[in-house]
Amino acid sequence: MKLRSISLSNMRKFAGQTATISGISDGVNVVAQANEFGKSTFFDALHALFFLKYGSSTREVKALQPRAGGAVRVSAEIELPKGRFTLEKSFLAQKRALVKDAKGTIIALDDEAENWIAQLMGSGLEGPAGLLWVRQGITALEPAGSSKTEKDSLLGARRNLLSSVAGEIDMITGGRRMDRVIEAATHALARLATATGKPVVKGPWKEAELEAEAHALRHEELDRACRDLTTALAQRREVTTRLAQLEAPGAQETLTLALEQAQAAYDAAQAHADKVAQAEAQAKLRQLELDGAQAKLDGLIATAQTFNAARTALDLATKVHSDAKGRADTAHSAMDKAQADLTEAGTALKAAADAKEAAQQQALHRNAAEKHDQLADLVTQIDEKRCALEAVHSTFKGLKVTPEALILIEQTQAAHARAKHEANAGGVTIELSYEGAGRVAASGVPLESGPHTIAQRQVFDLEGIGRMTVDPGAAAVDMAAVEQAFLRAAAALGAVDMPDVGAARAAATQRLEVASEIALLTRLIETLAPQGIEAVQVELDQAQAALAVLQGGAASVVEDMTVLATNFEVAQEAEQAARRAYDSLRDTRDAARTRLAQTQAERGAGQNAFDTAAAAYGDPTTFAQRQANAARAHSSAQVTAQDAHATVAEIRRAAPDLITAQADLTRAKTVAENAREERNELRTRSADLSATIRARAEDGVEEKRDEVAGLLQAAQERAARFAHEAAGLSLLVEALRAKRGAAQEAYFGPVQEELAPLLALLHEDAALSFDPTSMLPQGLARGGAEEQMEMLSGGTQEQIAILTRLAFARLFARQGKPMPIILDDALVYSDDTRIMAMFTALHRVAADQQVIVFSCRQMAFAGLGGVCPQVDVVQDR
Amino acid sequence: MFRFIHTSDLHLGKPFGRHSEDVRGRLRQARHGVLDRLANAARETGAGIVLLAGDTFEQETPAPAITRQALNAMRQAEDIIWVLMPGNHDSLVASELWQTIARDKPDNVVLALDGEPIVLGAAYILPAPCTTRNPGRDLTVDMARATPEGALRIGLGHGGIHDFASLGSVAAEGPSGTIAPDRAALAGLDYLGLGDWHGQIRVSANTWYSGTPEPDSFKHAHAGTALAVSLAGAGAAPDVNPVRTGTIHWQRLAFDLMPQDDVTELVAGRMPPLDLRRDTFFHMDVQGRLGVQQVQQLRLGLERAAPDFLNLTYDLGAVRLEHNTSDLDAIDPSGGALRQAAEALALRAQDADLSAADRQIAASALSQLFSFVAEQDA
Repeated sequence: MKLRSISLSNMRKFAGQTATISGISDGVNVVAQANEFGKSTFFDALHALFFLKYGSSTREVKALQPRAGGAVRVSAEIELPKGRFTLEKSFLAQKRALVKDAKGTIIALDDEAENWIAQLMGSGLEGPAGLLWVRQGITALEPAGSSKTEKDSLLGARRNLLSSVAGEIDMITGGRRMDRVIEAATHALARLATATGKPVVKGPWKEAELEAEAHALRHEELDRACRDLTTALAQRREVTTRLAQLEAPGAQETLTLALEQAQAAYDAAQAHADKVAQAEAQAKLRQLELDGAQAKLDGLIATAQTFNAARTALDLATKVHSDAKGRADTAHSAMDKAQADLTEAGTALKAAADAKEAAQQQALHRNAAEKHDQLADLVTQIDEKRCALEAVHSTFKGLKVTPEALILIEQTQAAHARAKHEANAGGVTIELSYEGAGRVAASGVPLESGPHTIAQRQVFDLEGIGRMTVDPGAAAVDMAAVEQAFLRAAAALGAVDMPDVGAARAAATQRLEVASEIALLTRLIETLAPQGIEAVQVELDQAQAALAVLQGGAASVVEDMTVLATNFEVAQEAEQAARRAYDSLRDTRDAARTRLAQTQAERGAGQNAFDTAAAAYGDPTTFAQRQANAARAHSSAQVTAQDAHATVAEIRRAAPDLITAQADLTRAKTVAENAREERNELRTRSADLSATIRARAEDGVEEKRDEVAGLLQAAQERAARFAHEAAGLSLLVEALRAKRGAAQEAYFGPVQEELAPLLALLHEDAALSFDPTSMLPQGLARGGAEEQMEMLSGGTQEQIAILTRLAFARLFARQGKPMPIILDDALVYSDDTRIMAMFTALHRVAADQQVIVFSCRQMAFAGLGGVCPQVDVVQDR
Repeated sequence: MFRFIHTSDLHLGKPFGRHSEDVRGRLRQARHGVLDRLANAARETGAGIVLLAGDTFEQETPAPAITRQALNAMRQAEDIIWVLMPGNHDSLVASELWQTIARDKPDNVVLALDGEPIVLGAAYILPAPCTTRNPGRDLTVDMARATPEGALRIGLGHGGIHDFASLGSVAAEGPSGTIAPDRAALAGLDYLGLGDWHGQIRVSANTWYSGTPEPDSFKHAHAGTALAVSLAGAGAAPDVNPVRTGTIHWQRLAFDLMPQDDVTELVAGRMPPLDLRRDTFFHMDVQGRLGVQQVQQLRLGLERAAPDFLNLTYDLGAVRLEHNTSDLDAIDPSGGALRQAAEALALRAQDADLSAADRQIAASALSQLFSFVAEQDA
């Protein structure tokens, strides 16, 4: 198809007008008009003619209408291999579509005309022609802000274009059918599994797995409960069996009989043991009798021996006591003498010590008195200085003329003097010379004769004459300044009560002298009392107190301390020697006393022992008789005891083993007790197990376990089915994608073939890669590196977008269906070099088909060359 | 004439957890109703006694409701004497169960909890209750004990006989047990009623497995029955007749299909009649070689028929997919990418170098491709 003319009426800015572009030739056509001419209106009009239904009232159609409203019409003359035709559509107010042949005969009207046009364009809006439009600023491969529907439509268009180009592309790639199958399989797979083959959360597979896990946990729990139940049943069976054994007839009687027999054996053994004990008691008694006879005999022998020994010991003690008494008397006499010596030495020592102490007290009193006198003198000096300081302080307070005040006084006096001097220098002088009584008065005051300076305009009374006014004119003086200076000087003097500046200066000088004296006195006091006056006074008070304490030490005679000390030491040594002698003799005396007491006690004891032994011994003849009787009694008791011991040994030999009998009895009792306790324990255990079993049985845990086992199996089978299904779907999607991918490789071949020479115009050795899903260029490979489309500059993206469209268009043309390529203000981002290359590309494509370029960039597109169709605008009638 | 009903393996309380809730309900309901049907069978055959040869209950400690409702059903059938003997599922280990039953049972229920003979009129019932789940010895040995001269001697046992295989294919899969198959002769029994095997088997003229009165799986795909036994006198041959007691049909069919078969017609022709399907568990095991379209047709036909049945399941895992040109044409006659993908999957499904699991996944993928294409083309 080729466009030969385009005409639009009552459209947008062409309200009430008909605009026509005519003379559109083969190859490149350039409609270069200034902005606001209405190029885009032509562009949109063509779009409406080919792609919008004549009956449509969409916003897109209404946007074509001028503000004044009315019907919108567009027509185009096209050339097809079968001849020329005119397509025409009216929208809105007059809805109509028609197709006329070269003779002007209407060959299709309204819907038929729409079908005619749609067939011409391929498949209407989704047809390949949609690819041939490039609008202003659209550089992306898909229009910016395209909706999903629009994108899908464009994708479909690209596919359909290629389908029409390659003929059997659909057959190869599966086309939409393949897409739908992949989509369905992918959708079915996504319902089950994630991209990594894991079950989808909340999907049926995952839910089956979760259900299986839950059942497995529940089954494990129930199985545990069943095992517990089985164990409890087995244990109860064992308990019941054992209890039956224990409670079986005869079992208890056997235990009782064994216990009774053991008890009888033990009792017999115990009775025999009692007999042994009785015999042993008799034997023990006989032994005691024997021991008594022995003791009696031994006692008599000992009494004789004691009597003899006591008599010898008494004699010896008496002699020893006598010796001790003599030594004690001697020691006592010696000690009395030593005591007298000690008393004498003590008296001498005390006298020496008293003399020494008195001398020390005298020395201390003297020192204290000296210190007190020094401090008293210091206090007196300080008091004098302090009084003088207070006096000069008082004087200083009365002297108000500080250096600053003096400076102020002198400054104000100087200022006053300067003011007066200046006043005296101004004014006029009048000389009065009276000859009569009459006087000249000023302000009622008569003036003396002589010169008078008139500083300012002044009126004088001339007695009897009248008044005279003297005006110094330019020589007038400002007396107010003089007055103010005077007042300031007076105020400065008044502030310090000074009559004049001389007095002030004298007062200032005096003030400095007094201040100097204050500083001197202050330093003197600080020198006398570095720690302060109060510290000196405190020290004086302390010295006073110390002196009062030592007052008793005052003496008129001063002793020699060295002599006194020597005397004291000699007396002290004599006293110590006397004491040591006394102590020694006292120890000797005490030892003699102790020994005397000891020997006396020993003699007393010896006497007592002898008296006792003598009393026990008694009469010697009688004593011998008693000793013979005792010997006979001992022999008799010895025989009796031997008989008793023999009897015990004989009874013991025939005795049963009491310990064994007792052990048998204990064992029998333990067995019986254990049996009783076991019965009780088993009954309790049986009751506990029965309670457990009953509880489990009432829960029906086995039935629940079996039921859950079934549920678990069903869930596992279901999960396995889903896993199998997912695996199948995954394999299917993989296979479909692989085959489609392979087909798409072949699919893009023709596009790449057409694109290569166009791309070479811009970039040497460059190649485009296509995204198999979107079927759009996704990267540009240059110099061995591939750059993603979005990383390329705006100009390069724009150029690739247009070249891709041109390549698609060439494919279409090769199939014998050339379609016009229409560019509306395209190539807005391209630089001068690239735009020239793009112009060449357009001309290269234009060799096979028509290219119509709308542009407002008349200068820039001058280099495009080509034909400039005629543009006419006429007013409609 | 001494008449009684011999039955076993009621397995009351079996939960059937694998099945859906409504199917479970049907199965439990059928199981519970079997006591009433046994009572009716007894009455219809003039028998006043029902001998339960073990496994009356599924578990050792069934839920209280199961025990109570079973006893209530027996209490209701007060004209019948029920003799209950522990089997391996409800052996004497289940002491709580049997204590509960002993405590709560009505008078017309007699428990055979030990080997002591139970006298019922002219007959001496010689029970061999299972002491544990696996006693490991032939408990029927004690049946040789003496009974009064002329008394009918009826043994009641539970477990497998030790040469089941000798009974032929019907019992080739029977349990390897310990019971002597000639126990009846050895112990001088007039009849030996056995339980444990859910299928009904005649071991000898006077030794029978009654089978379960209500089957619970495809293993014994027969209608549930009990045995109505009549004994004319000691030493006389028993008259044994099966009596229908089951309500649920379990049917499992195997198909070996070929590409030339009309699978829909073949399968439909072997399905049970419509009036039985509501109470039928039906399972199909299909093997052979089929094209994808045939598998789709088969699957579709089965899915359509499924609602007719109490439960319908099938296993197509053993079907080998045929590389069928017409199937591939249906997917993509042009030989394009779809066709190539289908061919790749078909080859993979038949690749002997792959594991069976991988081949099945490929077959599943191909089948799904066929479905998706069919949906797109619909």
